[in-house]
Amino acid sequence: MGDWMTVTDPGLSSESKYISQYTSETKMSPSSLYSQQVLCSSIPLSKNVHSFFSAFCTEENIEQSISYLDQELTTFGFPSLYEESKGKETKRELNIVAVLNCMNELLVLQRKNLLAQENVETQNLKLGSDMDHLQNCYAKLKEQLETSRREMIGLQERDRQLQCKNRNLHQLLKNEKDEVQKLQNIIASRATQYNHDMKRKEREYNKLKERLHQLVMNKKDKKIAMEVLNYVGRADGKRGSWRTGKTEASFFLRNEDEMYKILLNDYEYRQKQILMENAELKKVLQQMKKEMISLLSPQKQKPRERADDSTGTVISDIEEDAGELSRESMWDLSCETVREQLTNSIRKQWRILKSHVEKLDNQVSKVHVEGFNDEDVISRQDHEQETEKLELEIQQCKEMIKTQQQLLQQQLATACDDDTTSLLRDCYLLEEKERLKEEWSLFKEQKKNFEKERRSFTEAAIRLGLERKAFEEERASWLKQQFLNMTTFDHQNSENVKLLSAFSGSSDRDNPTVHSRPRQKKPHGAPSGSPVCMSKLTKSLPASPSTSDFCQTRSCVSEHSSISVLNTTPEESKPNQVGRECTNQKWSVASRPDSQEGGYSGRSSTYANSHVEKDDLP
Amino acid sequence: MNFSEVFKLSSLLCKFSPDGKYLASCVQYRLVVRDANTLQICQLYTCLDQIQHVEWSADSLFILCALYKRGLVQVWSLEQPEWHCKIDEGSAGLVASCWSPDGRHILNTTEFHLRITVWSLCTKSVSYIKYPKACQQGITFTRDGRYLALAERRDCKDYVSILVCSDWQLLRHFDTDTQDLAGIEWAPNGCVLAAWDSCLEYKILLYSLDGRLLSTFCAYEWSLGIKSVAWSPSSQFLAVGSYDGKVRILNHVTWKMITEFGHPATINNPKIVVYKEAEKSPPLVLGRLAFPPPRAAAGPLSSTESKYEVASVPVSLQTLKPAPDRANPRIGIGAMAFSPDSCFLATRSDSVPTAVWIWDIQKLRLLAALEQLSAVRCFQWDPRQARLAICTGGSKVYLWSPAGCVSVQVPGEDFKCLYYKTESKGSGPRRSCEAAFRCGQAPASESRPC
Repeated sequence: MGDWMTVTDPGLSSESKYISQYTSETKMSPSSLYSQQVLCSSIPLSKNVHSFFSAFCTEENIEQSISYLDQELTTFGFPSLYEESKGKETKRELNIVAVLNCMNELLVLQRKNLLAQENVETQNLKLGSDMDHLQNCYAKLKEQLETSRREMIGLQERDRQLQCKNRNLHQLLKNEKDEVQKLQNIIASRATQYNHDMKRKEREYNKLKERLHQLVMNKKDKKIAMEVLNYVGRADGKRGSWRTGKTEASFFLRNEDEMYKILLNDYEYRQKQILMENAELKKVLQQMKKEMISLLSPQKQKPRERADDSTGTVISDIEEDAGELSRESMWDLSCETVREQLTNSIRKQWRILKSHVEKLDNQVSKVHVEGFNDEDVISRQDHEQETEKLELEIQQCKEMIKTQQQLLQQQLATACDDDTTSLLRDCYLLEEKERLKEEWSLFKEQKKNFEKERRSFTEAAIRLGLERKAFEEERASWLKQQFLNMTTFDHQNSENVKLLSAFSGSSDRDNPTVHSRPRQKKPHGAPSGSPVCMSKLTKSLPASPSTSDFCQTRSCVSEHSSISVLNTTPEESKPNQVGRECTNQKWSVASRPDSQEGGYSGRSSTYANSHVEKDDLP
Repeated sequence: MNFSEVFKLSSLLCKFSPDGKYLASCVQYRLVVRDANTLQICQLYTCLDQIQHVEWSADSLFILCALYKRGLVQVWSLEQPEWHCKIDEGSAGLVASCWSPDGRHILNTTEFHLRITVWSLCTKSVSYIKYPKACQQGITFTRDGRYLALAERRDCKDYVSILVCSDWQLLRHFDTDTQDLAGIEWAPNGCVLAAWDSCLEYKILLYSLDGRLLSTFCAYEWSLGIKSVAWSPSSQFLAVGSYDGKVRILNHVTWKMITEFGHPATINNPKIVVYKEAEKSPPLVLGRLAFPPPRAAAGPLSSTESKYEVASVPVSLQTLKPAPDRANPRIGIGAMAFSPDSCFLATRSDSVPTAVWIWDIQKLRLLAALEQLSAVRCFQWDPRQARLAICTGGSKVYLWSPAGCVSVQVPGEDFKCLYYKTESKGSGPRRSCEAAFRCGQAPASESRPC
């Protein structure tokens, strides 16, 4: 295309040149101007044409212009504007028809030219853009070429380097190989030399040894001797037998016999072992075969239906084998034919089984892929929940372990070496156990005592209550009497009121019927309020879930009570029985904070511990 | 584990009798025999000079004391204290002395390995065996005591003689295809003899009792070869430890290699338990409540306590770089021991001296590795169960069993465990005794765990 373009381009330009040249020759260049004007604007052409023509041709120079035009047109190959002259002398006449024809032709030509020009213009534009594009492409490709050329050079360089390296390495390898060979040769030569030297040295050494032997042994060395108090009997009880020439041979034979016996025994033993192993393996094989047959027999129908020739034959083989299997005695034969049969049949069955399993695997995988997605989502949720739960559990367990560890550490604060103490821990534990047992029995006794005391207290309290009741009744009767007396004798009234107020400070004087109830309550509630607490405790005693806890606290209390008695707190010095009881209860309540305070903390914790451990004991 | 008081001892000579009833120990020139249960002195014998070697006869009736410097052997009877026997090797000198398995003959090796003299305690007869080879392990008896295999060297060739112990008659005599025989060892069943070449060549040969060559095994060439050999108690496996840091296990049917145990310096497999001994700082008092207070005083207090920690894989063990320009390089498998039930194999690689590897023979893989703080001196299996005791020359004895590891502090000041012995042939309840000794003229102590 480019070629074509380049070819047409100069043609066009030359043509235009030619035209311009031609017009320039005329030194008027009307056509060029005209054409330019036509190019510039085609619409106002008519006016311009008029004016232009008027400028070109005036009234005066019609002849000249006609002749000029004629000349021009004839040079372009148009027919002459003048009529054929009959004679040279005569003035040529303007042929109107020819002029018109020429004009028409010129116009047609002009239009054609314009069209062609337009076409050429558009083509030119198109080609210009094409040219640009191609130039761009060309530049790009050039760039690419450059880069790829550079790359290629780099690669070539690398290749060269690698080849160089490879050559070097090859050289090195060769060198190393040579070196190895050399070293091996050296080693070998050294070895032979060493062996040779060794042999020589050894020979010398042997000679010397021989010499020494002769020197040392031949000289009747008196010193070489054994002093024995008396000879001892042989371990087997036999007498030492003297060797003589005669018996030597028989001895030797006997020894040989024994040796072979030992060897034979060993071989027999090994054979037995191998036989046993074989038998076991055979058993396993047999079982495997049986299982295979039983496994494969339900499928027998399918392959037969398929009439697959290979499997069909194998199946039939199986059947045959199954028939053979019934003859158990065959297994004891260890001849090669049986072995072959066995291995062959097993192999066949194994092949079937393998293909079957593969098939199953494929199916399973298909099913798995199909039913994977929805299952997966569910399982993930479940999984997350489960993991959360498990994590929580782990946390709890960890905490528990931590607390246990802390307890253990407290217990074993001093003994840290677990390795050594682990050995000693048993005896410690035993010791401790015994000690704790003793303490436990002591506490039990104390507890019993306290129980007894408490019972007596409660009894006393009941007695007191009864007494009070009796007293109340007595008083009520007395009051009634008084009242009766008062109704009869008015003057005694004032005294009676005083008495009442003295007995029950804020109680209702006005209705004595209600009076009796608070009065009955009074003996329990009045003294210091603590008996209430006691009653509560006694009430809660049977209802409490673990009596041992109570015992524990009580025993703690007992211990503390003995201590605090020595301290003589004001609470304890109350003389009456009820008071003592109530203070006792108070201690039991107070004992908990007390034990946490740390004053007796060491002891109290020991007791607590002892109780905890005791609980496990029985 | 209980420990007795400390007894005096010289040059690490202390041995339990084969029946486990007595304990013989030497202090200079005196031989002290104690009851192994009560540790009361039963007998006291006086030798002519410092005792250099002690050995019980197989029936526990006699004790042999070798005085190498004087070329003397003195034998004492436990039943008859007044009975005595003195064997003088005279100018030939004495370098080794041992009992024959029947306990009535003594085999003395003269200096320069000129000959072996067999002295009988029953008769006046003396037998000589010429050309014994001076090597690592040249004499070996079968476990039933019937046969003796002896390495010999004649005319620059190695031979093995098999003798009948009852009358010292030669049964078989054959040459071995070795450059320089380093050792021979009977299989526990007494039917196969393993003979191996010196460390310059990897070669192990297996001979039948009748002298037939059963098999040869060579793992590689041109490198230092076998360093240690051990038969499994069941005679089923033969473990061969070599200078390349590997143990190869041969089977007893084809005598081919079953497996190869490498001893890498880093352990990556998370299945393997790596016990690391760690020194413990003095315990911190955690709580105010010291309960019970007397316990601290009762515990064994020592300056450094140690315990085992299970290290998380990958673990890299401390390795020594061997000096290439010195003889006897510290590389290769220096020690191996099968457990009595043949289920475990304990090994020590000399390039990783602080570690003991324990291999599971049933699964043929590494089961556990123990890394001590100091180099392992010796280890021994309990004869009754799968329990390994390790000594590092410190004041502790380390015990491993499939259940775990413990380090036991041996009481006593400045005490070093160099040895650890167990003996458990005694009838009645299981009893195994451990003895640990301090080097040089130092006290010894035994202990009996119940």
